[in-house]
Amino acid sequence: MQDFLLVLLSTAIVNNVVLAKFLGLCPFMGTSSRIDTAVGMALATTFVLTLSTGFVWAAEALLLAPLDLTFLRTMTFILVIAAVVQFTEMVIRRISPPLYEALGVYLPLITTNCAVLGVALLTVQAGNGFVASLLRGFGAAVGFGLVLVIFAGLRERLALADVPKVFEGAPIGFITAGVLSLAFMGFAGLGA
Amino acid sequence: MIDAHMMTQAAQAVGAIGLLGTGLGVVLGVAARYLSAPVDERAEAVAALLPGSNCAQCGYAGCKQAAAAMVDGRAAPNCCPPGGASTAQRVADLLGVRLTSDGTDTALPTVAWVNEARCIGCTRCIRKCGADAIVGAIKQMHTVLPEACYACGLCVAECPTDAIEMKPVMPTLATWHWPKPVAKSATPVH
Amino acid sequence: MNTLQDIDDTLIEGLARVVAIDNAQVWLAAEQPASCGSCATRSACGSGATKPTARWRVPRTLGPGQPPLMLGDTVRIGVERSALNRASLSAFVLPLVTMLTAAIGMQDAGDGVAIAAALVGLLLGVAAARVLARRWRNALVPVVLGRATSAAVSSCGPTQTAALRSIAIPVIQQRSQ
Repeated sequence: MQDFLLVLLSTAIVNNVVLAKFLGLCPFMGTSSRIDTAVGMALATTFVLTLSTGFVWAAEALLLAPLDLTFLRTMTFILVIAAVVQFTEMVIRRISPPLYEALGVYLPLITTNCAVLGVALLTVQAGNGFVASLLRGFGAAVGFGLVLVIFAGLRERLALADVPKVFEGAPIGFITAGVLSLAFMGFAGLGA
Repeated sequence: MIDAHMMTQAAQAVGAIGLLGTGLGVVLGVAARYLSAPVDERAEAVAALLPGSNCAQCGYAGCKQAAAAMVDGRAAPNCCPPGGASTAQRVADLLGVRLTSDGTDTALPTVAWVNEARCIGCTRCIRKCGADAIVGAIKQMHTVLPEACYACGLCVAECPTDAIEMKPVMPTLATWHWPKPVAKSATPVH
Repeated sequence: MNTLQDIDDTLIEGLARVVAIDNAQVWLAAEQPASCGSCATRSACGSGATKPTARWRVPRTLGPGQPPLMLGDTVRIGVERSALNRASLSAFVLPLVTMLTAAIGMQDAGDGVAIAAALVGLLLGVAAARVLARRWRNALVPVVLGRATSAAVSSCGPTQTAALRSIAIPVIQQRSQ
């Protein structure tokens, strides 16, 4: 149990997908201007990331490794991730149509989120077992969501602050993201 | 040099990925069939035939509502003036009803026309046009492309200086043809 | 719902249009951008804006002394934010939690068993989410808050949620196509 918590901590905070690995910056900057869009994006990405990591591990272990086809990783993983996202969209539409109308717009955007493919490739390269890889995916997604919500809160405050005219909007957002990334670097070395 | 080992590996690669893709496709197809939320197929099909500019000339709030009304039988297929005779015919064919001529489709087709003396270049009409038929920019002269306009009339309502009006398209020697014969007893069939 | 704005963190507002009149009641539909019908990629669009499916039936009069709703009128509707949060948490997080619990529980039995357990956990979680969504379906039904004047659409001033609730008109019937 202890090493699972360690894995979660490591992937969520120490090696944060956005602030330490610099993946998934497009949805990070795009949906973090308001907290409710950030929360919606974070929840949808968490679901898709964890599920994709599991399926991608299975594809690697059952298809690519036995046939010595590891050079096809990127293509296969994209195929699996796209299928997972499509399936998720159908399931959400069936479970709760009002929820689909509220958050369904984010799901196709996650297919092209490089954080999903990045986490999948990094997890497979780490070469752990199924459960550990699944937890890595979940931890990375939790870290993504956490940073998204934190940044949304920061940006909502920035919108009301007295920012110089040249810096308003995206420039001050990027500068703040850089400072946040520096702050998260303080976690480096924690638990490894 | 391509040897047997490379060929087998290539074949294996193609086969494995092809199998994976086909398998995923089958799963998604089955899921789409069983997990799909029920939609009214006919109303969607009719709505796709309509212009889609929600101009409300038919009396309904939007094209989707008019399509639902046509499917239910509350509206005739030729109730859409911007659609014209071709849309009415296609909707009637889709729904299997016969068209009656109640005067709506005997009106001459019209297109919008910008009176250049009055246009002030405010671009409000461009934002309303659902067919992208108006060309223009801020403080520049606007003009209507007649081949793209389907006469929904939204631009006429929007113009602050009344610079747009609907002009009838007069038949030319190239477009005139003998009118088709009308059956003596044309009754609606639902 | 792409046209949402926040008020006081308890009620998410949106706009809806009157699409049909039915004696003393009207049918509302969520706002759809007018250009969606002529968009070439609407079949591939993941946004719910191109295929709005929910309809709500509300009384035609909004209150004493107010004119009745006419075809094409725009009204403001509100949805409880906590209901949306609960729905999204149960739909997205619950299946994940069950999947992870099942996988961690079976981890000692080997990778294949762990994969099978994870799949079973996922399916159970999705089924549980479906049951919960059905039970909480009524909480996601919006209430009508009044006409949408041009001032209300563009203002961002804080309004009292209690006052909004007192004038809220409940929906009589909801229909999803």
